[in-house]
Amino acid sequence: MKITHAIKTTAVMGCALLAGVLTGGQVAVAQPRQPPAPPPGPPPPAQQVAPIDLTGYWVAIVSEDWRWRMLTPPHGDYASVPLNPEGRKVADLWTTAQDGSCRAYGAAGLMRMPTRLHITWADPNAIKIESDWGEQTRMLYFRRADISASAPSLQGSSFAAWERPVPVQTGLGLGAPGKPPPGGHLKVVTDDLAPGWLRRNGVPYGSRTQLTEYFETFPDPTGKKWFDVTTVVDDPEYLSAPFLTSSDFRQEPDGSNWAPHPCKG
Amino acid sequence: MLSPLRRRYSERDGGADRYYTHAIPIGRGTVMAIKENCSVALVGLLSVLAALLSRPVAAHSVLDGYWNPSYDEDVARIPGEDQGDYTGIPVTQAAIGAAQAWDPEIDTVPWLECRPHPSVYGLRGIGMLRIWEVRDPQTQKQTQINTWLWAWEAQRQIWMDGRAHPPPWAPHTWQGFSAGHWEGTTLVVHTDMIKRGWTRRNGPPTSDRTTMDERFIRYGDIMTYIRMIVDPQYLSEPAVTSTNYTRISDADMTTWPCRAVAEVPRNEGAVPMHLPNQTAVLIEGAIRSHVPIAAWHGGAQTMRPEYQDYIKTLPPNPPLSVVMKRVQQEDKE
Repeated sequence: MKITHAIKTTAVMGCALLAGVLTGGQVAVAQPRQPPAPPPGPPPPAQQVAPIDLTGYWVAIVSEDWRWRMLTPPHGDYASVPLNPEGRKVADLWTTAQDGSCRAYGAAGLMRMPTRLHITWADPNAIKIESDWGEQTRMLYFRRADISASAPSLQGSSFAAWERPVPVQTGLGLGAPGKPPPGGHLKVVTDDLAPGWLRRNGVPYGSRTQLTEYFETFPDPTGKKWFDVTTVVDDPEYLSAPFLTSSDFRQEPDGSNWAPHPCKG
Repeated sequence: MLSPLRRRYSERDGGADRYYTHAIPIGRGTVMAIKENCSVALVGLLSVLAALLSRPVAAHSVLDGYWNPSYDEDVARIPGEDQGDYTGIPVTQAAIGAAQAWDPEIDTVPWLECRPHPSVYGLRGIGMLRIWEVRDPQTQKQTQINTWLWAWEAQRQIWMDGRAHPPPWAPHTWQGFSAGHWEGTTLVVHTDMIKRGWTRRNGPPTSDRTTMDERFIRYGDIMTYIRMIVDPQYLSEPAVTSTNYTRISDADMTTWPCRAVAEVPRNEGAVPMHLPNQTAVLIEGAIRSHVPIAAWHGGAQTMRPEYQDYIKTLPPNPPLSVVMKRVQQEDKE
């Protein structure tokens, strides 16, 4: 009896092993070699598939670079910005009479400024960011078709996309990758920028600048909601290397602290 | 254009495609025969395979490798901040009082020369960072994420295996006890049981009741490290900072040999410090940096946009020459 049982067990295990090997191949063969085609029809609106919620009122908490952000730095103080010789030359042209210029509130500098932000969905495929300091408005479009060709401007043309974790391979490497992990963040690429400043004392960026930003939300240990924006400024004209910073904003319950401060020109 | 991270995974996917191409072709008859003879085992195995193939996989480290800190922000971290510069830190008055005793010469005291940075400061410091995961050889489950900092060779173990927290009487350490988990591809870490330490190299303290929450987020070849420190004694609200690292593909870690030596001759038992009456040295940096003295010692109220309006109401700083005379006088006293 025991011997019969042992034979049966061995047989089942053997079959299972064989089937495992073979079906591994079969499963692998049966997988589509191309990514599955998207469902017919237009993609769902960006708002509908958003992995994070950036809407609301936010206040910049200036915990880094305090002296270069809260104050107008002295003439010629461009510490830690990778300016090239041409950039330094332009920065040195700045005078205190220019303090308060809107050039400090262009897209490549705005998110580094001490300001409050109001973020809303302008429509299901466009995010609007307004600032009280500098009174600027940025539009982040999820559809390229919505970006109209126009002259360079302080806020430029911003194309937004949700970036999500990609699936990873496991085990033998046979078969398709598993489901991707949850989560995701917002990536924004901005071009068509008019020349502006990275700091209020005239540290310049040029018209060929490309700005790349990554937005991610997170809670602090007390439960308050924050977002971090990691910013890469690529400027072949005035920078010798990309300028990399990250800035943090804490959510406020409403707009009661909103205090518009216009900039000059 | 694909980000480097996505390119990496795309290449890996391409590799999988090759496996598809070269997979052993199995005829329908063969499979049917197997199904007939081993249907129970087959169905079970297929279920397991399907489950394995379709489950979300998050417990892989997308952070492994070598990272260089970016000094495009808070560049004063490299030489070390000026005495009294606590700008950007939500310090309490108790913290200011404790911090102003700090003297940069403290780091020349032999028994303090080789102490590492505590975990609450380490990743804000200087030098290369290496991250690697550790897996249990039996289960292949991820058990640790390790970080190694070039400066002072500080190693942290972030436990990913859900192990029990040390008892409250366990000793506090420079790195503390860190427990981590993945949220998508973000590494989320909570740390406590940390020795009394510092949030900045120029003295603002953290107490041994400090806890720290961290998030490591990867964007292609950039890693953003968010640090949130809570300290009921020395911080009036969570101190939140973000620091950037860039990935380096070709790197090696060198050592940080540290041997305590008497660099500065001083009397036995002498500890460099500022006495409470020595305040001028704490504002010298403010004058040189053109920062209003009232803002120089930080605090939560100085970190919000409305403080820009308040700054305009502050009196101008005294001339540097006046402050330097006071520094000399206080040194003599």
